[in-house]
Amino acid sequence: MSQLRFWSFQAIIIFVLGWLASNGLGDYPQTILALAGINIILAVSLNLVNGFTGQFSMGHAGFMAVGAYVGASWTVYFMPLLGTSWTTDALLSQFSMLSALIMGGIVAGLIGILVGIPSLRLKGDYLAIVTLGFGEIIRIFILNIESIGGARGFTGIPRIANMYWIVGGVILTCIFIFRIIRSIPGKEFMAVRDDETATQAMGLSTTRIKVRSFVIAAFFAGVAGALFAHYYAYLNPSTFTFSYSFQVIAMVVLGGMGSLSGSIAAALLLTVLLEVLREAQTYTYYDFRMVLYALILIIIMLKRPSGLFGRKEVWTWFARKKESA
Amino acid sequence: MRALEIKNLSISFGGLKACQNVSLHIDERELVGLIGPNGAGKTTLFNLMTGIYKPTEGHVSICGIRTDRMRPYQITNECRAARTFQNIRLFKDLSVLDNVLVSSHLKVDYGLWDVLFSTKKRQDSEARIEGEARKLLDVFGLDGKRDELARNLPYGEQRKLEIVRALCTKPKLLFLDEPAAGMNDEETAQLMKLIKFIRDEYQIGILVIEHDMKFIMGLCERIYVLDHGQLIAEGRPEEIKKNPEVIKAYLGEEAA
Repeated sequence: MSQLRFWSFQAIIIFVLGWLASNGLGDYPQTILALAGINIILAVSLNLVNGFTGQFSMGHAGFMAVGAYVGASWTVYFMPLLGTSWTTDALLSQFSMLSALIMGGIVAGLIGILVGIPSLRLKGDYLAIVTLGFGEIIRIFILNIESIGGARGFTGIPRIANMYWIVGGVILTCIFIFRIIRSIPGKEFMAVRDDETATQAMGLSTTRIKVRSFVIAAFFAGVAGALFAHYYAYLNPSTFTFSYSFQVIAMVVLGGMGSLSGSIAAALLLTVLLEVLREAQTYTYYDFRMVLYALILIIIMLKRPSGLFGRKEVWTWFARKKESA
Repeated sequence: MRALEIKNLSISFGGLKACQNVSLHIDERELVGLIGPNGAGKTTLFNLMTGIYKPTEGHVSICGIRTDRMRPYQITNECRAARTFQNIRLFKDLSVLDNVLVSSHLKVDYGLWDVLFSTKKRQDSEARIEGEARKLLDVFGLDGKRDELARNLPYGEQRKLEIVRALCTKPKLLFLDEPAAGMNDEETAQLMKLIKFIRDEYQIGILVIEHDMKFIMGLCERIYVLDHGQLIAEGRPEEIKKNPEVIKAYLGEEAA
């Protein structure tokens, strides 16, 4: 019964926030908010690998690209086989959207297994370089497939994702990742971060744990990609370069490695900041945007080296307040 | 069946023979010590037994299962052998309770679905595992500190927690690597009591590596002495004390 209550509560939140976002905002703020939502999914899932498991992955945009292109191909090439109404009808297209999200996530997760098994035997810098390389391989691969647009970009994707999907994706991702890290198998991720030798001595295969965390992160990156594809209705391989991966890493580090609420806050902050700086640019002659962006990052990291939230979550802070009061 | 049996074990790193032809055994529920001067090969032998090194020759079996080609985590899981470390290796940023929960992973009987949807199966199972972990912590007087981070415990309790964590994997054989290192006399005396208690309470075989002579003589039923990678003596504590080979290894030719 409490399950039913919990999920209906979530459904109401998703509906209310989704409604507010799609009706209370203009087109431009709404687009930014959608991007912020997608970035939250990316940052929260990457935090599982980089923050909680202590492995440095630099290829998150690659998995997002897999999800985006697989999800888009699914609705462009596969769903019409069942009848054109699956992408044009208001209700039926929502089922296509759901299946595209799941397909995008699953294929990205499978690629995650392929990439993870060989590369997660490496540590530190080496792992970072290998994941960076794999991210680029995925992008170059997509760049050379003509049927999904190649370098020209993938057009003709039905615009079937809306703010409800984005808000729903964000909330579900946060709930799932939070539940994973709070479960007993989820604590194994943090055990690997703290001491690999001891984790092995407890009878746990560290490679398996790392691959597991990598695959879960890749799945959600794929979901974020599929959302991205169907919200903006256009994909281009140049979106998913190393610099996107790096932006997501910046969000994770800035929010605090090992803090989900930190990742959420940082993803919102950085996405909005980049857009606000774009506005500010109209008043100055030169392109100060990236300079200011970098400067703000440097200042925050100097003032708070372990990120905005460190390893703490917002709710634990509130709980302590209540106790002391 | 013996808890541990090592036959003609050798390992060489290049030209250096770190262990030569070592044979030893531990019976069920036996408390055995392994001593030797610095550089005698104790830790190498320990790493061979726990699967970190692969032997060049000979074989190791734990509870009747050959382990010398297994990975460390397989040895813990399949042969029920757990260990502690010379330099404490706790999960420092996890709480005391979480440290113990991580090593209770074999009791986890729910899958990803149960985690994602927080099913009743997961809730019941976690409540049960947590209850068992807290009971174990309580036996060792750590339950009151279960929410503290492991890094914030005093040194002696960190040692204790490491042992509790190893016990949580339900071992039949426990390896302790210098458990008394860095402890004062009073703490050492407590630790001796604790190790004897563990053997009696959980009915397991224990192998202790130690430098502290007084500690090992007062604790172990049988002692092996290692020097230059070879076993030079074996026997009860009082026999070892009088053994001229051992005195020579520890104090030099003159003293013998």
